Formats: sequence, C-alpha cells, structure tokens
Amino acid sequence: MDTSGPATRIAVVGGATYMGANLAAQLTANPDVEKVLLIDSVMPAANIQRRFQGAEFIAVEYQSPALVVALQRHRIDTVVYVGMHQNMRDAVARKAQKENNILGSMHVIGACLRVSTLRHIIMQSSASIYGASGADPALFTEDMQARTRPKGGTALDFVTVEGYMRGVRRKRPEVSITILRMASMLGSTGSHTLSDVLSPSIAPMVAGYDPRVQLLHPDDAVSALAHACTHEAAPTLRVFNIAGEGIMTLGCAIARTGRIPLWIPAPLYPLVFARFRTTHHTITTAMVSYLKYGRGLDLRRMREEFGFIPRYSTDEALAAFVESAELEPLYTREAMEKSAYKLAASLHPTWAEDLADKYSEVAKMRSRETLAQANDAYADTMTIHDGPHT
Amino acid sequence: MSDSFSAPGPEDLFGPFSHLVQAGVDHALLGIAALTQALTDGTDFASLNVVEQVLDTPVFSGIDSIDLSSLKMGGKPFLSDALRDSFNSGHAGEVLGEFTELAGHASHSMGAFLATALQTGQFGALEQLSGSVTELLELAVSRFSGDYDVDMYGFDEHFTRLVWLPLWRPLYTHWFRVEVRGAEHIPSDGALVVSNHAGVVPMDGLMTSVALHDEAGRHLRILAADLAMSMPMVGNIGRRIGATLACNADAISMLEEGCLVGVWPEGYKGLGKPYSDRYRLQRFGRGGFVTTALRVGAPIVPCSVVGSEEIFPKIGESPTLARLLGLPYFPITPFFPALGVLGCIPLPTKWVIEFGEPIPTDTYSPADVDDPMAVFELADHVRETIQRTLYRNLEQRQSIFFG
Repeated sequence: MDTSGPATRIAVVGGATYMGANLAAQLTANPDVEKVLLIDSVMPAANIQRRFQGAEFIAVEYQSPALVVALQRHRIDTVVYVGMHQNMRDAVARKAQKENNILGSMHVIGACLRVSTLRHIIMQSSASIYGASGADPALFTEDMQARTRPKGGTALDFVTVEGYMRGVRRKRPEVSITILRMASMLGSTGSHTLSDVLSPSIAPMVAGYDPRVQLLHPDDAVSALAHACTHEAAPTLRVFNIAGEGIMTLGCAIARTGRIPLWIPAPLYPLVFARFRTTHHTITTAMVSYLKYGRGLDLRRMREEFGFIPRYSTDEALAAFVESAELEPLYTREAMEKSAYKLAASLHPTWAEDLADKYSEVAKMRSRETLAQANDAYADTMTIHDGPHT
Repeated sequence: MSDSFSAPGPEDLFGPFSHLVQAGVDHALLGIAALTQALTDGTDFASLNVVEQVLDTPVFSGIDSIDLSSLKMGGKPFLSDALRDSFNSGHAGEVLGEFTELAGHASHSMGAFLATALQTGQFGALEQLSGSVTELLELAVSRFSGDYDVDMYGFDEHFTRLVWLPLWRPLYTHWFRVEVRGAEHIPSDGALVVSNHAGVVPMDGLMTSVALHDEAGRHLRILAADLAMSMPMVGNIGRRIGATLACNADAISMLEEGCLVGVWPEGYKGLGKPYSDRYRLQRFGRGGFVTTALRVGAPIVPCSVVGSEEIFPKIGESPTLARLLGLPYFPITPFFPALGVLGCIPLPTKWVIEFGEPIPTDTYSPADVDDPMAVFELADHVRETIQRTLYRNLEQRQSIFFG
C-alpha cells in the first residue's frame, strides 16, 4: 500500500463541531479529495449543518461497530479526529465530557486500527497539555512536557489520548500520525476561557500576574488540519505546535479590546469569574495558572517541517475576534489621544501641537511597520511556494 | 484631524472646579512669592546672590530681561527681621498680617511673571517642560491603550526604556553614584554577562541593567530563578523587563538571537550571604552558564560590582520566618526588621561596576560541552577574573560611602 501521497478519502470524526464542519467545507472544495465523510455521535446544530457544503454526514455512536463498518465501506484512508471537548464544563457535565474525551477516543482509535485502508490519523490536540507554571521556559518545543503533569481536566484527557496515539504506532507502524497541539482560540468556536475574560466590559485578571498569550484564529486551526490532510506524511508520529505568530500579554489584549481590567486575588478568582462569564464554562485550577503564567509555543517546527504559516498573527487573531464578536471597546487609542491633546492644550497651546506631531510620528511609524511586516510575510509565502519547484 | 481639536482653557478642563483650581494655583504662587520676597528684600546680599544663582540655572535661562529689583516689593523690611521684632514685642498677629500683605503683593507679581512666561513661551525651560509633558502624555496613552509589543519571552522594550529604567536612574545616579568601567568591552552581539551577586535584594541586577543601557546601549536580559519567576508581581515585571527562566532552552535561544544575557551564578547563596562574607564569591553552581555559552560559542563578559554587597549588611537570618514565607532566607540587618520600612532603605554606598575583557568560548571544541573538567575549568577562570577585579577595586576604595 502506498503510504505517502496526500489523502483522498477523508473521514472527519467529531464532524458535528465547528471545526469539523468547516474542515469538511474546505476539503470538499479541494478537487484532489475524492470523499469527505463526517461522523459524530450527535446530530449537528442547524448553524453547523449549513457549513457542511454537501459533505456526507452520518451519526453513529463511537462504541458501536457501525463506526468501523462506515470507515471500511467508504475505504477511508485518513481520519481527522476533532471530537474532543476543549473546555471544562461544570462538575456534572464534566463526567459526560470525560466519557466522551477518553472512552470516545478509545473507541475511535480502536475502530481506526481495524480499517485496513487507513494510512493517516490526524488529531486535534491542545497546547494546554504543556500546563502553565512559573518554572516554564519561554517557549515550549514539541519535545517538552509540562513541568507538573496535569492533575485533571481536559488537559489530562489530551495527554491520555496522545498516549493512545503513540500506542497506535506500535500496532500499525505503517500508519502516519499527526498531532496538532493548538494554541488558545477565541471566538466562533467559543472554545476558550480567554473569550470569557475579554467579552464582558470588565475583564477579570489574576492580581499580580500578566500572562503571555498566544492566539490561533479558528480559520487557521481548520487550515492546519486541512494542510495535514492534503500534504503527504511519512509513516511516523509527528507532533506540531500550531499558533499565530507573535505573543502578547493579557493586559495588552484587554487594553486593545478596550476592556477595563479588574485584578482579583488568585484564591477568589474562580468565584469572581463565575460572575463575569458569558458561557457555561467553569474555570479550573489549570486555567487559573494559565491566567497567571500564560504559555508560549515554539513554532519553528510548524513553519519548517510542517510547512504551515497561519494567516493570522496573534495580534490579528485578537482583532478578528473583536470584530466578529462585535465587542464595543470602552476606550480607544484615538479617544485617549484626544483627551491627552485637550489636557496638553489646557496647559499650554503649543504643547498640544508638539503632542499632535508626536502622534502623527507614531502613526507614521506604525503604518511603516505594518507595511514592512506585510512585505516580509508576502516574501515568506512566495519562497515557501516557490521552493519545491525551483 | 487637527480641526476637530480646539485649545480649551482651564474652564473646559476642570469644569465647575476651575475656580477652585485657580484658587489653589494662586495660593501656591503666593507661597513662592513670599519666599522670594523674604530672600530678596532688604540688604541681605548673600540671599540676593542665591536668587541670582537660581535665576541663572537652566530652568530660568532666557529671563534676562527681568529686573531683580522688581521682585523686591515696596521696600518692606527683611522678613526675618520683621519676624524677630514681632516676636520680641509679642505681636504675633501683626506678623501674620504683615506676611499676608507681603504675600498678596508677591502673588500678583509672580503670577503676572509666570503668566507672561507661559503665554509667550519664550524661554528654554518651558520647551524642555513641554517635551517631558508631551512625552508623559504620549507614554500614558500608549500604555493604557495597549499600543506596545512584547517579544516571545515577554520583554516589553517600550516599558523598560520609558518606565522601568527611568524609575531606577535616580537611585543609580544620585544614591549609589554608580561608576562604570570597561563598557567598551561589551560586544555588539550575543554575549553572557556573569557577575557577582549580593545585597539581599537583587539591586545589583537592576543597576547593571541601567549601566548597560546607558553606557553600552544594550538591554540586559536577566536569567532568573524559577522561584522569582513564579512570584506574583516579581515574575510578571521580570518578564516585562526582559528576564526569563534560567534554563538552557531560553538562554541558548536568547544568545543565538544576539541578546546580552545576564547571569548571577552565585544565585541565592550569593544574594543571601552574610555581611562577613562580602565580596567573597560563592561556588558558581554547576557551571551551567558555561555549558550554555560553549554551546552557542558566545563570549563571557566578567562583571564585578563593588558597593552592592554592603547595601543591606546581613548579620543574621530567621529560618522560621523564611520557611513561613516560602523564601530562601529571611534577612536580619542592623536596621531590618527593627526599623520596619525605614530598614528597607539601602545604604548609600558608592558603586563601581567593572566589565572585564570578554572571555572567548568559540575556541573550545563541541566535545568540551559534555566534558565536566573543561566546564569547571572555564567556570573557575571566570570566577577568578571577577574575584581578582573585586579585590583590586576594593583596594583602591578609600571609603564605602564615598569611593
């Protein structure tokens, strides 16, 4: 059997999710892909179903033999597994969630092992497996582990399932496995606590800490999965960090979103967070440590080995979130400039002019920088695309 | 853009409080004027000289047209004389009346003088002031609107250059009067600065940062212990000013990026060493910093700080309190904790920071990285260099406080 070559018959397990549906849409648009099959144990919501773009959807329980039958009948060569829940729900829902994340994954992997045509498994994992602590290096490479193994919650689920994936390599050495550890996502997936921090007009922060956050635009997450499907993979286990370029502090993100930060002592944080949240997610101790120390991912392997460059940087992902969630900033740089100008003018008329000069310089500088960055990014994409042909 | 802006007066700014503000300003002027009056009036020539000196300073440069005699108001007797007379005669009320009258005159004259100066904006000091006020406003706007970037380690150059270093510069210039030697030895690309560590709180790191920024135009990227990086505020500000965790991965990538990385291999042993052990270097850990430098081939710059080891003379410690607070040590100095907050003021020692010639590491072979002998040898060499320089500078020093 040919182990290299891009996937042509793809099953997306966990297809009733935002990620699955959008991935299906992107894959069906690709003429090289023969078949896209969406599988989930639940029926998709209407807004998700609209995104399928004609891909076939079947609802099967993961533990039923129907899953293997479906995969075999469609001669699936690539399984994309995006069915794991990312965020902690309340304690009752957590039981069901764990059932899905651990047992569901075991059943899916078990089914994959029985499909003879299978060549490639792609798993959406999460950067939360690196944990967050003061003893963390600035950037985690894929070979590093959390300083302290996650004690519970979804991070532990991801660690466990990644372990099962390694087990697959032992049983079916000819199958390639690609694990994508994705950074925090904001917005339409509703998948991250950071959205809950940034959405209300008062943003709760942990007192004394300002974590570094690295963001991934949901579209880039989908593109990364599609990239893994459509590019050939050697039969090995490959792990990649996926995140937007650059990093920012949460305080900076809050200021750019025009939110008012509120500093809450760490022990009280979960209590206060519960008052501010806009979704049903509860906050775990792991999330509180993330909001203390943040996390940085080393993206060299993503760029060089995986050959994937996200379209949105961390800054741009935040801006896109603000725009799509229609967050109304409570203050903007322009408004602040205006009041500073007024203050300067009230002190002395010529000072205000000096200040205005300074602003225009800043504005000029900013636009120059953006232009230079855009040019660099363009040059980068050109070299990557031209590379293999020349 | 500028059309939408108009230059409002104090009424627009302070609204209903403008009268209050005006009254406040008047009172302040009144005080200044009374002082001027007291100094200039009468025949006391020495105090007149003082005023002339004050007016000669750059703050008032450009006011050459102001006649000093205009500041003397109506030939009143010198205030101290008036005070003495009144007290002698027991007429305190009269003194008060005298003073109020005096101040009334002065207020008008100083007010008019300042108003003219502000309106015409003719002299240098105001331009300087304008520069700093507009810079401050611009800074505040940038900080509060999140218009700054951090690098992957969380280093916020904007904050460090415009907020953090200026905060410590007065201490650097006026309190410790730091003298920097050998700044020309700082390479222009990646290098490891290795220094002695003492003083209970890592003041030496801060002062070395200021020294390197002001004398060599480089930001010092500090390698900090995980305990510090986990502490609230400390870890947060640490990352902001360019520190990162002292681990191989971070140190190597920083050096490869051409950063100037600072490391204090004595660690907590050095920071918390007793006063009797001052300027005696502790063991240099396991020489991890040498391995890092060898791996990248970055030169090691030995740095010897004299003055830092006496700022908090540690004469004892309390292990119980240390354990209770989760600290590596709890220091006891002659002033701390006995004098509380006052005990936290560092002694104003005179500092000398000397950077030695860089020790090249690219002459070693890659095999030496895993050779403990070679690593210890190089670590000892660095340690010896720092210790020797420390002793030399200590010998030259006449006084702890005056250098």
